Amino acid sequence: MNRFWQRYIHPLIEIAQPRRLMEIGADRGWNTSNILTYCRATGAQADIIDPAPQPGLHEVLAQFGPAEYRYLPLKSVAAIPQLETPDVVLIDGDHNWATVYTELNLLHARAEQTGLPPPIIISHDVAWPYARRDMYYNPDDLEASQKHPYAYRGMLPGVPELIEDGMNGVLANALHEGGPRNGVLTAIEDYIASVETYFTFRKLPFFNGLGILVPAARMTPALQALIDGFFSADYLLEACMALEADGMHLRAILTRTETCLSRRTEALARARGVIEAQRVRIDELERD
Amino acid sequence: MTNSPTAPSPSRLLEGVVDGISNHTVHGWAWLGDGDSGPVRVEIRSGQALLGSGEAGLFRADLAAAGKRDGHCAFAITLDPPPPPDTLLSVVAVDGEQVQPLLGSPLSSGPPATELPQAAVDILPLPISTAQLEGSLDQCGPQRIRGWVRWRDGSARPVELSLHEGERELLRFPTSQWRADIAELYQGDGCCGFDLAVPDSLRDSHLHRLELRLAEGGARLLGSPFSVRIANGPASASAARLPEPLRRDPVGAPVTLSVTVNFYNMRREAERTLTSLRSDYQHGAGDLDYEVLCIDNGSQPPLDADWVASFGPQFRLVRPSRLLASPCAALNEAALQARGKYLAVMIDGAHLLTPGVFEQARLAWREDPAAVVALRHWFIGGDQRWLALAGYTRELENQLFERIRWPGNGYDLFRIGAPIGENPEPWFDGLSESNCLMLPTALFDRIGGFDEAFDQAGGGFANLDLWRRASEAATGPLVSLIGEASFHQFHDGTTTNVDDAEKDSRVRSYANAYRTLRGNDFAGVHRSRLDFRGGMHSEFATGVRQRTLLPMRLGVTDRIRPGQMALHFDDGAQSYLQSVYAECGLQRDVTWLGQPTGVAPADLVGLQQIIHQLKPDAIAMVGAETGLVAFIDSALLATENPAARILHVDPAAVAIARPSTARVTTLHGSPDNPHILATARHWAGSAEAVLVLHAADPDAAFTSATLQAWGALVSYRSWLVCLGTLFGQPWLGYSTHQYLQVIREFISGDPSFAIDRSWNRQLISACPSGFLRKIGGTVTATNYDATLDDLVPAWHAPLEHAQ
Repeated sequence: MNRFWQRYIHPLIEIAQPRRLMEIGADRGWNTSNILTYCRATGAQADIIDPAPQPGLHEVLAQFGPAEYRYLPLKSVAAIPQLETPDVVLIDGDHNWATVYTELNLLHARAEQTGLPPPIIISHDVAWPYARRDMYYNPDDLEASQKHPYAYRGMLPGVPELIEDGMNGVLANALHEGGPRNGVLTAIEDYIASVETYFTFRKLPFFNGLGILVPAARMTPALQALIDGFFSADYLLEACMALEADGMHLRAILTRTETCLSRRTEALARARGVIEAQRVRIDELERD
Repeated sequence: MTNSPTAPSPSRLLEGVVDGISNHTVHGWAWLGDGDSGPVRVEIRSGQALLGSGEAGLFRADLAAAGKRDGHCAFAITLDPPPPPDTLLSVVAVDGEQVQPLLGSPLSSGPPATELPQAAVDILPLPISTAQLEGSLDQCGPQRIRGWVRWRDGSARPVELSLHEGERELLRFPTSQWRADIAELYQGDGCCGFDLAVPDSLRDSHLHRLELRLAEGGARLLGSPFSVRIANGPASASAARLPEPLRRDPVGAPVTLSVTVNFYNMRREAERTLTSLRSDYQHGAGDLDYEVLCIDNGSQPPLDADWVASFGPQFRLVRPSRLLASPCAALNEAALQARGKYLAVMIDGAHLLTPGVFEQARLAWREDPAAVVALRHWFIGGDQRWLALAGYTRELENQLFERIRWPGNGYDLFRIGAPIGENPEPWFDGLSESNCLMLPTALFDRIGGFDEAFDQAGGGFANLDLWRRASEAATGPLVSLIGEASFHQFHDGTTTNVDDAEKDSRVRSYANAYRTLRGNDFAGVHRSRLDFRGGMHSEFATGVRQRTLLPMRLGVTDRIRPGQMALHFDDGAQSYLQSVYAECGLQRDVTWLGQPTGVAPADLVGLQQIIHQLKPDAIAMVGAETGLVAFIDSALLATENPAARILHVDPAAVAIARPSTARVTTLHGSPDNPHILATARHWAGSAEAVLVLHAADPDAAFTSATLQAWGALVSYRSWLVCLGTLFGQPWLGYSTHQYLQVIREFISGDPSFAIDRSWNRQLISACPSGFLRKIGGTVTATNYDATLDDLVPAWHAPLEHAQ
């Protein structure tokens, strides 16, 4: 999600001018740093929610103070009902239908209780692989009825089933892609369909996808123009350049990995030679 | 991340952060970077003045996940008295002579409290962590205060707690309520919860600073007092939108019961429903003075008044003055014409009743005139949502009625029906809705009847809402009838006869409409609030686990209904089946080439799949049965993996001649014997894909330590399979073996493993929760250890010597 900050999220936040933000899923705190920098500059405040962040988050938080943030080491579904309604929410938490759908509805309910419009939602992972497939960071946290059959196996684009050496095989991924109640994008669409609020919903379909959900009550001409602009030729050209840079970066990492693998393979070959030489030598000594 | 000391270099590395200050309490964490040291002492100073101090020993899950002192290194230090606004606070860790500021220090005490409304209320849950106790304060308001506290030493005795505001004690209570989640987490006694009503004195919308203490001695359980603000009454959105009480004009001669039943385009169904309301069908209704008001809410063709009256003198047709998509207004209008002291409200006229409904309701009212009586609902046929899509028709349903010769014995409806919720326990669960709700008419009027704001076709959640509000306003018991039910006949309903996706969508829409009206999500009435009365007049009414869908064998389709594992085979059913399997010892019948395997057939299939998928070079089998060793050998042969090796560690002290193949190496000795372990490590050598199977058996030294030792052999993305976990707790609650607890301890110490339940999907396994997949420890380009490439230097000498 951090990769969307500069070109998309920051301009959007600059125009929306939220006084209260919420980040669900902070991980290492990369995006948290951006959010809190905005808060420090504008006097806004943020609720940072993550029950199991990477240690790096604490380093990020240490650079800011209570004037900018409140950190809640809780699950989002436990925290949201107790918090003030935010103006903007960045969602990058547990990537499954049940969690995202519940988060959106809790945010909606909280807004209704306080007489405010629902917040602007900026959600990561509305494109492959988790747009139409659930992932569970901790499957035991969810009721059986809230999750699909899953396995610790990876994914390939265009392949509905999981495969052993696919992407993100270290996570509990739903066995099948698509179908009802499956995936982040499906959760957002189901939420939109089930509430009587008019939303503008646009998706940037790269870097795992960014969904921008703006309720009519929070839409302004400037915000509309900005979001429309994200899909202009110039913006899309910039996106192409970013994607190309990302692809080149990955290729460089691949090259580096292949170099390491080659070195390790050569080393193992040498080790095999050493072992074979020793075996021969032992045979000779035993014959003697 | 380390902190810079103010004076001489520390002997130990310290990490720590100040998270912030709220309600005059400074939050953060600190530790000395090793697992052995005690909690760090933290002090808060302003200049030379010490404002507060405490130990960084509170538990926080995020810190546990980050590997910092098992999570026990958080602090929350209250500054009492509070410092003036904008005071610069220095937060330091003190370790002997060392004084080190934490990251985030200094910080300001902040502006006056009025400028920080968000800081006024604490966000729950709050962890409870003392030297002797652990737990959580999960909730405090709007209605309940909930949480759990247990002794760290595993003692089962309840903890006596008290809730204080200042020195005033508001509540005193034991932590003795059963919590299934805590029992599961700690694999022991879960009787350590509390769940009480919030004291009325807190329901005043004011801010309260509360403390949770040990009742004996008054020791504080939380790092600091916590703040709550609890509204005095229902949420404003709810209060504003509740319907006004109904105002009733005098009507004719009073009767005991008025039934209002709503019909819309269901002439076929109406005939049976009205028949089930006749005095010659309802037991003991001969002396009951009652009336049935049949609402025709715009049917085409309309119901005929004479036809309705033909069911008996009690029956009459009511045509609403307004025809709306939602039946709520029509039901209220009919209710205002009712003469009964009690009302029976049936929003969906497709529901017909069993014969004892009126009789049981009268008995309930005889015991308590203010009782609210609710009837549970079943489907005729079975899951009509699916059957309808598969070809089920009204004509087929008619055949079912003919087979039981209805209305001869009304309780035979249970022979051709199924509970709508498909709950395996159809009678004693909580209740969200009743399609025949019987309540005092005065109560119906007082709560305003149906809320006509539910304007969706069919009424949406109006019926659920009526039950909920009636349950909250009732002055008498909420009686749920047992052995009596309403049965839904197949018709074009709003949610019953549409496909799952459409039903799902409509129900979500109804749920949101409810929340908009009431200000919170709908919640059914919990079973603890219900009284139960009735009896079993049909053996088919007792349960659903032992029966098939459509036991009357009505040929509808050649398709098979898509099952929902969580619904049809819940945790209770699974545990029951597993324990039966274990106690009957059926695994003893599972052999391979005549030798016992010790596992279930599904486990053999799972292991075969793993071998096919992983293509292991080496498989260590610790304490496995000989048949399983033979099976793995066969699987390796079948998957054309001739180079793969098997190490069979047999805890038996004496070698027994057993069939073996060249790939099997057998070691005799205890798996926790250092020599055996060293031999196994040597045996694994440079194998890239290592799979380990470890018997959950005391002879095989099944402890978290041995799992750690043998787990170290497991390669990335392979498995450590714990064989026979079924034969201990929690599947056999009386067992002294705590296999799942051992696994949890192992995983908490080595988070690179996760329980891979995907191998337990075939319902019966001898290794539930026993397939542990190694998903951590990935080598990437950034953490690649290049020194491992150079294997030759250590070998130069022997090589040179050899030459």
